[in-house]
Amino acid sequence: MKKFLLVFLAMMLVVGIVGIVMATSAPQGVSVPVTGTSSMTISPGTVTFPSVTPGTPRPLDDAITFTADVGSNEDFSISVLSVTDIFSGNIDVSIADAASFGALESFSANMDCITDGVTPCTYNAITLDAILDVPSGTPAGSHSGVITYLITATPVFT
Amino acid sequence: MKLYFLFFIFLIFNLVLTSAIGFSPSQLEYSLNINQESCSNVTITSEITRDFRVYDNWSEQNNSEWNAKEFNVNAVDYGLILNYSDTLRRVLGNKEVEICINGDTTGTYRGIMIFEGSTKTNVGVAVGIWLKVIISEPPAQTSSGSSGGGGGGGGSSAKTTATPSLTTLDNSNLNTNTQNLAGNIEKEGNISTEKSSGITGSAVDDIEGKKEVKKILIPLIALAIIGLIMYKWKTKK
Repeated sequence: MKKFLLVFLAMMLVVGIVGIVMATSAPQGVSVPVTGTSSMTISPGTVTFPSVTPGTPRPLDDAITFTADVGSNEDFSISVLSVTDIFSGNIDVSIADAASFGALESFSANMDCITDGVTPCTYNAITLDAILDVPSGTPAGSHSGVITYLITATPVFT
Repeated sequence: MKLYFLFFIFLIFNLVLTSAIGFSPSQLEYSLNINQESCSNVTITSEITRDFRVYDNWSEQNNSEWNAKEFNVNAVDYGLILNYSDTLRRVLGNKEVEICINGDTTGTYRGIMIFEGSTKTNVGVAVGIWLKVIISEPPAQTSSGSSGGGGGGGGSSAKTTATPSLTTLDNSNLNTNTQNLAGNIEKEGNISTEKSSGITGSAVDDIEGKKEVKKILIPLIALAIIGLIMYKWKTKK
């Protein structure tokens, strides 16, 4: 009986050691959700068209540029939320070097994070050429309005 | 000299006017029971002092696109009640904003919270935070006779608060959500653009490891018992 108990204890010891070794050698997975952060700069801060003659399209001297700031880590979408005063319906835009122009109000563009999944995101800036074409009969004088851009990140809801 | 001065002034002027605007996270997901309120925070960043007008718009139910221009429905039309500051005054640097949502009709709703910055120039910037709200019936109370069953709390709105996250805020199955979140990260792991926060995932593989150990230990114990029986049988002989 004594011998039996001794063998039993020895076997349990072996089982215990194997268990401990298995437990300590189990790989530990690590995962962490990273918060999305988006930041963008639009320049120039003030868009100034040279004086225009009603009925004659006039391009903007400097292009409008959208630049994702360092630290951003998501895909962006840029669209136009509102345009006021005589600028509404009278500005056509084109992403730089593209042949076709379209209404500013329907402009939208994506700015995607370029990464291999580990390195920080980089982005290609978007440059926008604009043409103002105010209709004949537009009252003379200084006009000012506001173009409001809407910046969102591409949603990744599951 | 005068020219340099003018250039300097122009540079300063331009820097001020081309200031950045940022936000984090870019989307919030709420998973709620009927009449349960839940809150999440977003951080708005502005490099110059700006006021913000804050408002929300919601999508038609049959529209599946995430296009802000097509989000024209009011929250009240879906029985959603949102609590947040509708104006943010003099924001400079980071400003944390709490958005609380509560709904009385089951369904999945998609919305956008717009933070429209004031401007002194003719270029304005607004940022949009996508919202997804899932309202469901509260889980049925399991009335197994073991406990007294007092605290049902049917209609009371349990308020939960969460830091910015894509994670649902349903407090009934936090573990499942954590695992789902970890799964999502793995699925979309090729882009480092996950929209959530918190260090949550490590438990998943730990549990897997324990399961593996159990799988091996059980046959080992069985083997030890068989060995003992055989030994005893041999010694008897």
